[in-house]
Amino acid sequence: MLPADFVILVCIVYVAILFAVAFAGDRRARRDPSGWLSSPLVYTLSISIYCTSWTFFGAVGSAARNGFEFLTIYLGPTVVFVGWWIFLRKLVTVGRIYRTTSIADLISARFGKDPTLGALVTIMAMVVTAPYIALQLQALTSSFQVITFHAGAVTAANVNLDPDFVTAFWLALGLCAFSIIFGVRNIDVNERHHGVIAAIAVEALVKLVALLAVGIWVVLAIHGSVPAIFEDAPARLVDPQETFGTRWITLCFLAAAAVICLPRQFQVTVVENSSESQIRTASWLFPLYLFLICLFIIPIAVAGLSELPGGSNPDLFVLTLPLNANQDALAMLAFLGGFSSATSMVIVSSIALSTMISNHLIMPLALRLSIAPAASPDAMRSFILGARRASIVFIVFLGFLYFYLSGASDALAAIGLISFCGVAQFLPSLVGGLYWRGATNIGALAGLIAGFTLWGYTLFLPSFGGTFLMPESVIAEGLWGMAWLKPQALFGLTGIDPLVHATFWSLFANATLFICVSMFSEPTPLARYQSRLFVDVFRRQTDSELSVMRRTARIADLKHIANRVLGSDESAALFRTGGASDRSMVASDVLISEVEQRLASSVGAATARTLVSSVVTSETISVEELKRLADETEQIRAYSAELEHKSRQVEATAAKLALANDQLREIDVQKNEFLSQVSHEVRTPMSSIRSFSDILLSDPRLDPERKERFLRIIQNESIRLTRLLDGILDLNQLENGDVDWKIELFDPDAALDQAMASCEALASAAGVKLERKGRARRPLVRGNRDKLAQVFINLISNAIKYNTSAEPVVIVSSAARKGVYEARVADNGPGIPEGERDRIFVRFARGPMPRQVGAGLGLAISRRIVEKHGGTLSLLDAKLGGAEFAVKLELAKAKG
Amino acid sequence: MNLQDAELERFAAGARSVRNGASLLPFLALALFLPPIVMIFAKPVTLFGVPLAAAYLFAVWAFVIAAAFLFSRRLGMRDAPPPGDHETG
Repeated sequence: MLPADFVILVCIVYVAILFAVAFAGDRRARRDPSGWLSSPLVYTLSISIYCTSWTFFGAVGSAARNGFEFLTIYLGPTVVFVGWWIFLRKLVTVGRIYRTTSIADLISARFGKDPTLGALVTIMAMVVTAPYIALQLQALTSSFQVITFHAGAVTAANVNLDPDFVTAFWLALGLCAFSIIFGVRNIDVNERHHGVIAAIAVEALVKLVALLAVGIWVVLAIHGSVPAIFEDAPARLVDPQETFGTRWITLCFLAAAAVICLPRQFQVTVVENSSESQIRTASWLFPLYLFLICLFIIPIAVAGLSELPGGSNPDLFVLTLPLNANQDALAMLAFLGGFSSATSMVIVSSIALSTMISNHLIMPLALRLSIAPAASPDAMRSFILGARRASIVFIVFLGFLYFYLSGASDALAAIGLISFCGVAQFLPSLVGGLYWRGATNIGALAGLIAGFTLWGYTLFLPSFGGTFLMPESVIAEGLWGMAWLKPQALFGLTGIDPLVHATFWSLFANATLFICVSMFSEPTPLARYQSRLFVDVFRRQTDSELSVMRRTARIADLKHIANRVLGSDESAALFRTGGASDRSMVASDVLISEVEQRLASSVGAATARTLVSSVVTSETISVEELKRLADETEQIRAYSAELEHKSRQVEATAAKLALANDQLREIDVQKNEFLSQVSHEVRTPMSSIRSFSDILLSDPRLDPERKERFLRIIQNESIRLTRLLDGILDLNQLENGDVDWKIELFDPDAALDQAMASCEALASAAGVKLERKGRARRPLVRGNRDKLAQVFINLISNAIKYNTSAEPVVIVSSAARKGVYEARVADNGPGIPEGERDRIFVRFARGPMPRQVGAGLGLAISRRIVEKHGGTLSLLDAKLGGAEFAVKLELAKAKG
Repeated sequence: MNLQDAELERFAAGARSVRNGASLLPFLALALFLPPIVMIFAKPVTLFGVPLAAAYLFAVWAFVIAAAFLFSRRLGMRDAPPPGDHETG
């Protein structure tokens, strides 16, 4: 044992050092606000108030009782912090930009600065935190009792000591003093408490060093080597099959939620944050701190179980193991570690809660009931400070009262997880508020009330085992004896761990109501505005944002309010920089917003709004403008997706254009060719017409016979020219599609016969034998008979003209088969070489024959005509050795 | 594309992948810490005298911290990426 006086002396010296650190920290921060006190290291160490005495003493106890389960409490926060980029970064940025003072402030500000929401969150936080403070007081007193117990620590840990309320009382008083002196010195603009943070950082180091020291000593002195640790470890540590069930998942989740939602964690992580680099470093340094804390928990637990007599309280192994081995210095260090973890938790919790209580409970009430003094500028300030100080005393002594009433019962031991589950109720509103613009204050209110009620009913009240509010009969048989209302088996769902059961039902109801009620309720204009600011916090603000809210207030009134809350110096500075130098009477929107924000950083958003609203004469929030802005954001978001889509479209269009361009080029080449051919074709007859007419004009004495011959040539050439031009016109018409034919039903064979008759003379003149073979039986096609006859004439005359065979033959045949009429014109001429077959249908292309008669437009025109009839004109391999053309036309259904 | 553009492009791509990695890390950690994956290691086997589950959990934990450290350094080097330009939320 250690003498009580000595322990007290050490504690006092230690506390004195903490006071000195806090004092120096405060002074230093005032001189140099961005000094090492704002360094990421100090920030991270302050976050480690997550490790309370519940960790310091309780983790070993948990390991001894439940094996690996204690790890969940540290794995959850690890995931949250390494994932800072996803959530914490946004939360911290919102808190920093909008100068949030507490979690209640953030939730109420997000949902339209709703005072009800702020008050509700504050009350929930109070209910959850008071038992947690009681737990710390219990840990402090019992560790003090054990270390100073006259019969030795081991005995002390075995007997059921009566709680030492006197020690607890003095401790509570001391904690109040520290919190008040360093936590509520002034109404700091950003609610940052550098002195407290500095002291907390020192305490964080002390508890880490203490736990590591005990751990290393245990491994080296008791176990001797690492494998030795597990030689006589309990089965749950060696074969942890049972550990990883739903309870494991639930605990990980609760711990992850708690590291964000616990009021004290919110205070150190969000409120005290001053830059992104802090949270960036904490993202790995805080998990590392937790890792180191956990490293020796198992060895200590195993050593305690094997070294100390059975029945020893495992929660105090950290202390009793060194005492048992007479390592007094180590025991003293361990005691200081526990002392540090408990005191830092109480201090930060009480400061965080006092801000919440004064901003969300006292101030709104005081303003409504007109209790807040308005006489002198400083009266309001001291009223707020007084309220905060009183709140600290209130919350710490609420914890003390809780400890006093619950006494030595085991109720406190489980309170850590119970309060985790309680604060997890804030999670849906917090996450929803930061990511979902549609979340409304009514939804948040409904979710929070439902979650909190269910938490109280299924977890908190049953934890008293029938001694508080909820009688034992209700726990065992359900409310009013209804089995489906059993607190730990709602709807008859038995066999589930009570914590898992409560977590599921409370958060399920909470999240469901939050989402559903939000979807069916309309946010107030202010809530809409705030949701915009919070959800899109990373988007740069535009000027148009400020134009949404229009307010009018007299500068004098505003100044009065600012004086009352901020003090005359600070408010004077605010109005100087706030652009009120021009002697206008009416404050600008910017100035009003600035003043409101500064007030909010002191008294919370909801109260600041109440204060400012009291002097604002007219306020309009343009919902249309808000909707427009929201649309803009949506547009920006959609914009990048659209851009991507567009660029793909542009690519496709570019490809199409390139293709079209190639086609155009080809057509251009064809056109040029066409023009040169046309001019060539026109030129030949023209030049002969011209030369013969020249001769006729220059020599009038020509004999009439020659004259007539020349005139006939001129006439022939003119006819040829006309035919050529007609052909070009025809083709042009056909190509442009504006044909105006008479459409009728007719027998194509008749047209074929007509064409043969027309060519008879030509054939006999050329000595070509024209034969008719095969004949379709009464075919009928729809189209223009004359045009089709023209096609046949063209084909037959070509076959006659280009036939250079010694015994030229042209065979014409026709057939109707499967609804298709086919006419063929074959000759035994030279045929058309493979490479020329496509070209002959092109304008002015002719067979490879020396030029004879015709303009070379015939086949092109024929093909067009047949195509206009919906048929095809193609070149086949001739059986006769020459060329064979086939016209295929669809048969019309004969009438009747 | 000139050399400078290529440089910038690579820089931007690097920043993007660091951010993506930083966003994925917590989900990976979660998957490794929770059943069913953790069940694989919940066997009565020891590794150098340490129960497999303990060795696994602490090793994954250390790996996650190391990864977070690297990511935070990389994110810090590309100081203050334009806010909102890659919001993951």
